[in-house]
Amino acid sequence: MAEIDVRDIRHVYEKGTENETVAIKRVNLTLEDGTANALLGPSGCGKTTLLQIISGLLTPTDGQILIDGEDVTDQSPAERDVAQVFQFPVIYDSMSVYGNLAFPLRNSGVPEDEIRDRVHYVADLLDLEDILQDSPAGLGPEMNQLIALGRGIIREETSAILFDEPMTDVEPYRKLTIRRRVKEAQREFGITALYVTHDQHEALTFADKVAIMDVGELVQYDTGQNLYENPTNTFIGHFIGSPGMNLFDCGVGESNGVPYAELGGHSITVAEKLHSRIDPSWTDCQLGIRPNSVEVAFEEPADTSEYVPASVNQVELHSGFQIATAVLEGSDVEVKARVAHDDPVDDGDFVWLKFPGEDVRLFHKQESLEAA
Amino acid sequence: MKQRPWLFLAPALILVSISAFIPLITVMNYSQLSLLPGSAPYFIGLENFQAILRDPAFTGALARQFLFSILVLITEIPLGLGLALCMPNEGVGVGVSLVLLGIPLLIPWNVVGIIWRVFTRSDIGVVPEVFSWMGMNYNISQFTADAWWTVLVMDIWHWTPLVILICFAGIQAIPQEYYMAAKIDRASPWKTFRYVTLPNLRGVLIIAVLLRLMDSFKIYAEPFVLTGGGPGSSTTFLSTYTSRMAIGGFQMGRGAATSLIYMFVVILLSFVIYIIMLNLGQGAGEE
Amino acid sequence: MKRQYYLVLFLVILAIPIYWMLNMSFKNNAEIIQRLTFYPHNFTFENYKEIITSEFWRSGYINSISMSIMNVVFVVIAAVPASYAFSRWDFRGDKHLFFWFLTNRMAPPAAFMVPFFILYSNLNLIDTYWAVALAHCLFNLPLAIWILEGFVSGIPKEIDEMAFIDGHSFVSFFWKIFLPLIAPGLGVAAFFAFMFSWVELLLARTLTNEAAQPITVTLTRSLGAGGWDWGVLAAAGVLCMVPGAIIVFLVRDLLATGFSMGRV
Repeated sequence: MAEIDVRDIRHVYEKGTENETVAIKRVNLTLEDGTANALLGPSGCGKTTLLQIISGLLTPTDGQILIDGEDVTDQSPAERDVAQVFQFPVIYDSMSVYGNLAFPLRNSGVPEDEIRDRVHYVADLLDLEDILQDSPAGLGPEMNQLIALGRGIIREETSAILFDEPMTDVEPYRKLTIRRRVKEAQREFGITALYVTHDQHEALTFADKVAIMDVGELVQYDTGQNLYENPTNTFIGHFIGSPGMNLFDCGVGESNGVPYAELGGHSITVAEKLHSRIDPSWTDCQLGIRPNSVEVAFEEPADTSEYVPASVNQVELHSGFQIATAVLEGSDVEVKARVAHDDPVDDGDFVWLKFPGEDVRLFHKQESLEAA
Repeated sequence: MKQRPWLFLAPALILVSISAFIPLITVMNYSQLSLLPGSAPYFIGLENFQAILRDPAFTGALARQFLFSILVLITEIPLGLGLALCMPNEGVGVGVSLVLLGIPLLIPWNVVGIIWRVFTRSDIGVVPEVFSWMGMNYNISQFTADAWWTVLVMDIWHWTPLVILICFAGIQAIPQEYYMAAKIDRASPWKTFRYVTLPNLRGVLIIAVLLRLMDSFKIYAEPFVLTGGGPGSSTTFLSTYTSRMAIGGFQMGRGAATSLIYMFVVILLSFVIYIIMLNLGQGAGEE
Repeated sequence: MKRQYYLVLFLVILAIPIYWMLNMSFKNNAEIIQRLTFYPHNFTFENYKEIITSEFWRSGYINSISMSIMNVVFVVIAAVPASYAFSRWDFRGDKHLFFWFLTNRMAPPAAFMVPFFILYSNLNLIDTYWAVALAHCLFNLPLAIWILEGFVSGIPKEIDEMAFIDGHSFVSFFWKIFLPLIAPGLGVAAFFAFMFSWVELLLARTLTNEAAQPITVTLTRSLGAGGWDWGVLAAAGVLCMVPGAIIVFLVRDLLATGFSMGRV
C-alpha cells in the first residue's frame, strides 16, 4: 500500500559516451495509493526505463522516487517492496509452481507454515490451486505470467506492482481472462499498480488513470474518458481512440466579433467557452474532432448553414459500425466519420457533414486550448 | 515425400559408413578370430573377450581410465563454470579473455604433451626446479603420484578453457530479466546462481559434461608424449592400452575385442549421464 | 570486480607453460640443458631457421592445414542437410539414428586404428589427404550434426513455411534464407571440426607415411628419431600453435555467442 511519487526524473543511457541517448527528459508523476494505473506510449518512448527506475532496477541520472513520502531513489528493489512482472514470463523452472510462489517468502525467512497459508491464499485468488505441484515448464506463457504475478504479490509487504507489457507472449484469446485475474488481484490487495503497454485498449480496461508518454516526456495523466474527450495535445488526440481523432491544420478568423475556425474554405463554429481564448492572428492552429462526433446527413438538410458538403471516397466496416472517409468540397481535407453499420453509404456518395461546436477541439501549436 | 529425410541424410550416412560402420564390422569380425602372424586366422568365438577381461593390464587401464575421467569431470566442470562466472560482461577484457582461452584448444595434442614435457622434465623443466626450492622431490618419470597429478593438471590446463567458453556463451544467452526478477524476489547471490544461472545452463552443461566425458575417455597423445604411459603402467589409459594391443602386440584379434569393450563402456556411460542430466532439476512437487 | 582476479590468475597459469616453451625455443641447446634461465640469455633464431628451411617441416604444415580444411568441407556438406532432417521431420527411427550418430562421437580412435588402416589400404588411399580427412569425420561429423541440430531447432518452423508460401523453391530457401540464419551454427561446427582435425594425432599417424604426413606426426616422429634437440622441438611446437592462435583470433566473436550451441 503506497503512494508513489516520481519527481523530476531524467535518465540518460551511456552518459558521456558517443552512444549517449536521453531516454527520459523530465517526468513528474504521482500514483495514488491503491490505484490501478497504466503507462501508455509508442515503442521506444521511455516507458520501460521509467518502470525500471520506479522498481529500483535502474538508478536515474537525475531526480527522485518517493514511496509514501520517503526518498527511495538509492534503494534496491527489495528494500522498496516493489514487485515487477516482466514482458515475458520469468519463472524458476527448476521449482514447482508452489516453490515459485514461495520463493520470495523463503528468501525473506518467513516460517514454512505461514508460507503455506499465504501461497494457498494467493493461488486461490489467481486460480492456480490445481497446478501448485506441477512443474511450470509445461504450463504455457499465460499461466507462467500468472505465476510471476503471484510471486509479485505473495509478500504482504509488497506496496506496488509494476507490469512491463506482460501480455506480449500471451495468446490474444486468453488476454482477457488473464487481465481480469490481474485486475481482481490488484483490487483484492488494494495494491498500487502501474501497467506499461503500447496497447491503449489494454491500458484503458486495466487502469483507473492512464499516463501517456511520448519521446521521453509525460504528455497527460488522466482518466480514460478525459484522455478521449479532452486530449491535451494533438499527439494524444491521434494516439487514443481507434481510429484516432480527425486532426487538420486550420485557420482562425473572426466575424462580427465571434471567432470561428476555417477548414478547407468552410467556416466551423467553435464552443463559446473557447471564444475568449482564441487570438485571430494565430497561424499554427489545428482542429480536432472524434469520428463519432461528426454528424452525417445523407439527404440535403433543410438548413445547410451548419453543414459542409463532402464526397465519400472510402468506407471501412468495423465491428458494429462503419468508418466513412469523406473529402470536403473544394478542398483536399479528408474527414473520418462514424456511421451505423446499416447506414446506406458507399464510395462516391455525396453527404453533408456537421461538426457540432461542443465536440470540436482546437489546438494552438499542437496544444489544446482547454488545457491552456 | 517419405524418402525425403533419407535423401538429406544420405551424405552423412555414406560418410559415417566409411568412417565408422565398415570399420566396426571389421572390428567385430576380428574380435572373434585368432590372428597370429604366420598362421591362418580361425574362429575362436568369445575367447578374445575372455582373455582381455582376465588381463590385469586391461582391468588396470580401465580402472585408471574411470578414475581419470571422474577426476577430470569433477574438477573441470565446476572450475570452468566458476571461471565463466568470473568473465567480464563487456569491454576489451572479453575479447582478450576469449582469445587466450581459445588458444589451448587449437594446440595439437602432442604439442600439449611436449609443452608439459619440457615444463616438467627433471633435466630441463621448471616445475622440478621449483619443487626442489621448496625442498620437495618431483620426478614424473619416477614417481607414480607425480606422473598422475601432472597428467591431470595438464588435462585441466588443456580443457577447462573449453568448459569456460561453453558456459560463458550459455550465461550470455540468459535474459537479464531473470536476474532482475531474482533481485526483486530478494534472492541471495547463491540462490540466484542455484535457481537462475544453473537451470538456464542445463543445456550447455550437458554438452560440456558429455564432451569432456567422451574426450577424456579417449585421451591418448598427451600422456603418450608426456609420460609414455609410465612410470610402469601408472598413466596407461584405455587408448594407450588399446593402441599397443592393436599395433605392438601381434594380437589383432585381442586388439579388436578390446576396442569393442572400450566402445561399449563409453557409449553406456555417456547414455547414462545424458539421461541423468536430462531429468535433473525439473521442478517437482513439494509442500 | 574482485572475482575477475580469479580469471586473470587462471589466464596467467594458462600462459606459464606456453611461455616456458616459447622461452626454450629461443635458446640454444647448451643453455637449455646446462642451467635454468627464465628468459633466453643467448637469444637465437637458429631453431626457427632450421624448421623454416626444412622441406620436411614445411610440407607437414601444408599437409595439416589441407587435411583439416578438407575435413571441414566434408563435415559441413554432410551435416547441414542431416541436421535439417533431424530437426524438421519425424521419420521412422529418427531418434535411434540420432543417438547412433552421437555414439560415433564417442568412438575411441584407438579402437579404429587397425580397421581404418585395412579399409584405406584396400581403397588405396593410405598416405593421402583423403584418408585422414575422411577418417576424422568419424568424430567430427556426429558433433557437427549435434551442434547444428540445436541451431536449426532454434529457428521457428514457420520461417520455412513462410518462405515456401512466398514462392521460394527449396533450393533457394536453403541458400538465401536458411543458411544465413544458421551462420553462427555453421561457424561453430566448422570451428570444432577444424579444431579436432588439426589437433588429432593417432589416426593421422596411422594413415600417413612420408607424403601426406601432417605436422603433428612430423613432430612426434622427430621427437623419437632425432635425439633430444629440445630447442628445435620447442620452436616446432610454437609454430604449431600459430595457425590455431590466428584462427581463434579470427573467430573470437563466435566464441562469445555461438558456443551456447543454440540450446539455451
